This record gives sequence, C-alpha cells and structure tokens, in this order.
Amino acid sequence: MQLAHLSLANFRNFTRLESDFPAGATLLVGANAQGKTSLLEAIHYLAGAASPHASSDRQLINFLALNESRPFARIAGEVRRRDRLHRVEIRLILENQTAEGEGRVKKEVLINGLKRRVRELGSTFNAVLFLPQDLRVIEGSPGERRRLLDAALAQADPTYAEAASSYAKVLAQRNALLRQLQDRGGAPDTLFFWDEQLADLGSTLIHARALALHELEQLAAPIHHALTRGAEQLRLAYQPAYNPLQDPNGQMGLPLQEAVDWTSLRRETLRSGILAALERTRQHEIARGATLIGPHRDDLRFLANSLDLRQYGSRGQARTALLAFKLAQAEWLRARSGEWPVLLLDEVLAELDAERRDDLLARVLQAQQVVLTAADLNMFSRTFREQASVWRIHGGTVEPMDG
Amino acid sequence: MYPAVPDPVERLIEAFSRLPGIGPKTASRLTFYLLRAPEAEGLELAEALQAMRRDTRLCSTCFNITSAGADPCALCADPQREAQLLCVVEEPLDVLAIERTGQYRGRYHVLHGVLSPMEGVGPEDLKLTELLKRVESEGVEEVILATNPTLEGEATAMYIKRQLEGQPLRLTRLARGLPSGGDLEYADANTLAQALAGRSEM
Ligand SMILES: Nc1ncnc2c1ncn2[C@@H]1O[C@H](COP(=O)(O)OP(=O)(O)O)[C@@H](O)[C@H]1O
Ligand SMILES: [Mg+2]
Ligand SMILES: [Zn+2]
Repeated sequence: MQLAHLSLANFRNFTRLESDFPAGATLLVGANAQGKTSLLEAIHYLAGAASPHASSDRQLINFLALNESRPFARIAGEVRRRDRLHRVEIRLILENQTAEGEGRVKKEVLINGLKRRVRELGSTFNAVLFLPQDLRVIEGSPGERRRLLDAALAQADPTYAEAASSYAKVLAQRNALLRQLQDRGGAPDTLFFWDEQLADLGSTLIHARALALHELEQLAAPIHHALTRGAEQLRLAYQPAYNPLQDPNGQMGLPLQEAVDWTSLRRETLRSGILAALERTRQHEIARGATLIGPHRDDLRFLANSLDLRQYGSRGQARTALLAFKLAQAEWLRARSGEWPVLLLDEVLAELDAERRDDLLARVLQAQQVVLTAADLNMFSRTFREQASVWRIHGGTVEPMDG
Repeated sequence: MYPAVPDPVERLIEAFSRLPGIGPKTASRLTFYLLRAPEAEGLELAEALQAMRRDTRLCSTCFNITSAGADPCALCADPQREAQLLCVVEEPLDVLAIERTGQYRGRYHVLHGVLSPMEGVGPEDLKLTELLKRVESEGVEEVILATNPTLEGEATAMYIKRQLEGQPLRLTRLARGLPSGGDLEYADANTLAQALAGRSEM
C-alpha cells in the first residue's frame, strides 16, 4: 500500500502540511529538531492512533495551538490500497482544558468519511515505524515488550485488539473483586464469571501471541543474520507468566533454553489450564488482592546467540535486534494482508558500516513505499539517492531537493 | 477575599454539575440562565423536581418506577400481561425501550444496575433476592436476561443463570447482531462476527 497524500494541522511542529508522497523510497533530510521524527510519527499514527514516542496524545498537539480556545490536531491521509483510494482521518481535540494545562484528549477516527473505532484503522492502513532511540523495548520492563507485540497484532487483526481491550477490562474488574474479598471476605462465587472471561480472553491472547512471535522469529532471524553479517543468531522467545504445560504441583515459569513449541498448544488446552490454575491459586490471589495468572504478566525475550539482550546486550546489539524485528513485522503484515505496510525508518543508517547500509537499503526497496530520514544525505550511496525522492525538511515544512 | 458568586448560586452550580453528562461549564450556563429567566420558570423546575420525588415510588413487585398511588405498577397489575414470562433489565429506561417495540407481552424485573466490582456494586446491591423470590412464587416459566451486552451485563446475566440453576425454567438471552437498516460493509468487525456466530435457520 501507499500513502499518496498526507495532510497535517497542528501536529507537533507542523502547523500545516499538505504533501503528496510518491511510491518507492523517500529520503527526508534535515538538521536536528526540524521535524523528521515527527513526520514519521504522524504517518504511523494513521495506522493505529498510537505513538510509541509520546506518553500522552496531548503532546502531539502543537504547543501554540494549545493557547486557542479549542485546541486540536488533525492527521489525515489518502491511502492507495489495491488501486483503491481510502481516506483516513484522525482528529485530536483537547477538551475541558484548565489553567494548569490539564484536560482530556478526545480522539475521533474517520475512515472514508465515516466515524470508526480506533481499532479499525489497521484494516485500512498499515505502517511499521523504527525509532532508533526506542530501545526501551529491548532494555525496559516486560510491559514494553508486550506493547510491542500487542501493537503488531492489533494492526494485523482487529479481533485481537478487541480481545486485548476486553481482557484489560476483565482484569480491572477481577482485581477490584479480589481486593474486596481480601478486605471483607465473603464467598468467592462472584469470581466465577470473571474467571471464565479471563480464561477465555487470556487463552485467545496467549495463543495469538505465541503464534505471531513464532512467525516473526522465522522472518526476523534471517534478516538479523544478514544485518550482523552472520555473526549472530536471533531468537524471539515467548515467556508466558503462566505456563500451561507445567504439572499441577510444579513450579511456575520455564528455563529459557528449554524449547517449547507454544504454537502446538490448542486454545482450549490453554483455557482449561488457566481455569485450573486460577482454582489452585484462589486463596493466594485473594490474599494478594490481585490476578497473578494471565497474559498481562507475559514477557518475550530477544536472544542473540542465546544471550538475553535485556541483560547482556550492547546498545548496538539492541538496535540491530529491534531493526530486525521491525523489518520482520513488515514482511509479516505483508504475508497476512497481501500488501506491504509503509516502512518508516528514522535515522536507520547512523550506526551501520557501508556494506550493511547497502544490504539494508536493498532490502527496504522491496517494500512498496519507504520513508527514511537522515541528518546527512551523504549517508546514502549515490545509486540509492538516484532511486529515491529526496526532500529537505526545515522547521516543519517539506520541499523537494535537487540533486 | 469575597466569593466570586453568592452562595446560593454556587450551590446550584454544584448541584447541576453532579448530574450525569453535565460539566462545570454547562452547570454555570444553566444556573445563569435560570438567574435571568422569569421567576416562574425557575419555580416550575423546582416544583417539578419536588413532585417527581414526592409522587413516584419503585413498584414493590418489579422495581420499575411507578406513581405513588399505584403499587404494584400498572404493568404488574395488568391481567393481560403473561406472568409466566419475565424479562430482567438493568434500568427503568430499558423497560421503556422494550415496551416501544410493542412485541412483548410478559412482565419485567428491574435490577437497578449491574455487577461491577470496580464501582463497588455486588449482588447485594441489585434487586436479585427479590428476583429469585418472584421466580419461585409467580409461576414464571421463562426468564429473559435482557441486560446489556457489555462485560458487566454479561457478568450479571451469568450470575443470575447460576442462581437459577436447577429451577424448572427456560432461560434466554437477547440475540446480538446487526442493526437493521444497516449496511454489512459498514458494520464493525466485532458486531459482524457475533452476527455470524448467532446466525439462524431461514
Ligand atoms: N507539540 C509540539 N508542538 C510544537 N513543537 C513540538 C511539539 N512536539 C515537539 N516539538 C518540536 O518539534 C521539533 C521537531 O522535533 P523532531 O521531529 O524530533 O525533529 P528531528 O527528528 O528532525 O530532529 C523539535 O524542536 C521539538 O521540540
Ligand atoms: Mg529525530
Ligand atoms: Zn411493577
């Protein structure tokens, strides 16, 4: 697919932008703080109304617009998908702004002019964004890695997004109930329904995650192999907090090295396993006032040559692993939907030597559309520059550059 | 420092902002509107509020809202309504919605809420014991669980189902599916999936 046109109003430092985007490669060249990352972020936003970069949607609205009576930002795109044009538009409206600068951001999604839910964006537009500074994914808490995998799945499958959001609600209700039982005692029979839901949705999430991660690993390993010139072997290991394969009185969790084929597990096996485990941990959960079993505690590990990159990786290694993951995600989306997502690569060449740059550029040219940023045009070989559209970005404006 | 507005004004603004769907801005707007409106308009509103409190009750049978002189309510007292058929709903407004269809000939039971641990609503906060008593004493043959298709609505329906287990009853749940007059192309994936799962013979 191709983003044929992008239109921005009050998005970060872009007060106004109207720009056509060609198919193939586009290079965005500009000094620091000119809006390169923000432009990629805007395009990516159209694929799921989420930013891996901002901690709140409020940050996306232009600072100056915040002084207006009804601050808003608008991100709109024309997407060409199998020769049909679709219009995608997201409006962020800051409501009830107080003097202290608080307020709630209302998000409106329109697809072809009709109001839609956020989770339906992925059925119209897909994009994969690589941000080099975003190494929290590898180095941070398990929650960061769950978000990475969940975001990938949510774009590919709206029913996964639905299940994940229901799971979060079930979890909140169930935890509230457990806290009440902890405080006031009482019969745990009202847990019944929430247990069923937790097992139902939980097994759906675990099953989908295991399968997706397995497929992503198959795609990421060869990419990573090439990016490291054969020096490293990447593995993506699923680490569910609840191990449905354990024997009833065994321990939780599994040693990393043990190869478990999660994809062979049937959803029903997982479901009944979770229910049985909830039964066994009932008293413990009530004592703690929290749900201790389920995919909300899952982790996944990035392993290079069997070393866990969270603990033992260098920054360069973490960056390469993340890049391999993102490139794999693009291929994975293509395999699922039959179309390449738009690839958005921020300062991706900075730490690669010349040979690896060429490898990478050749690879990304397979996609239907890729947007790359760099501070220095000379990072790109002459041959690559000749195949790409080169644009200069300056203070939130974009214009074609000659040569 | 002097207060910005006199106390009675402040008090009315606060009272308005406690209403659902009304924020502080709207609350001030309504208050200042009434401040300027002819006196009769404000008094009429006050009188209507008082009368509403004074002259309405919950029906002691179905817990729908009824006027003070009519308990049981007109619906419960109507011999034409089938006592064997009982429809369980969350709120009085749901009774209104189902009555508008003109298709239902049974009776109702209003729970006044749904199970929601996060909001501190447990079984004892709903009209559940009353429901069980009715089912046993009124010769009910079918209970229609018409709580909303939300998580909390489903939790409540499931809880009631468990409580009624073993009774010689037919338990049914409202079907979920596509809104009529809608276009398949525009239905969201989840609604469509449910409609597909709940498809019926033709
Ligand atoms: N909400 C906002 N409103 C206005 N400017 C913003 C907003 N958020 C970020 N910026 C500014 O936009 C500029 C562009 O940032 P960025 O896209 O990261 O640039 P680049 O990637 O080119 O270095 C920075 O100066 C940043 O401070
Ligand atoms: Mg940048
Ligand atoms: Zn009644």
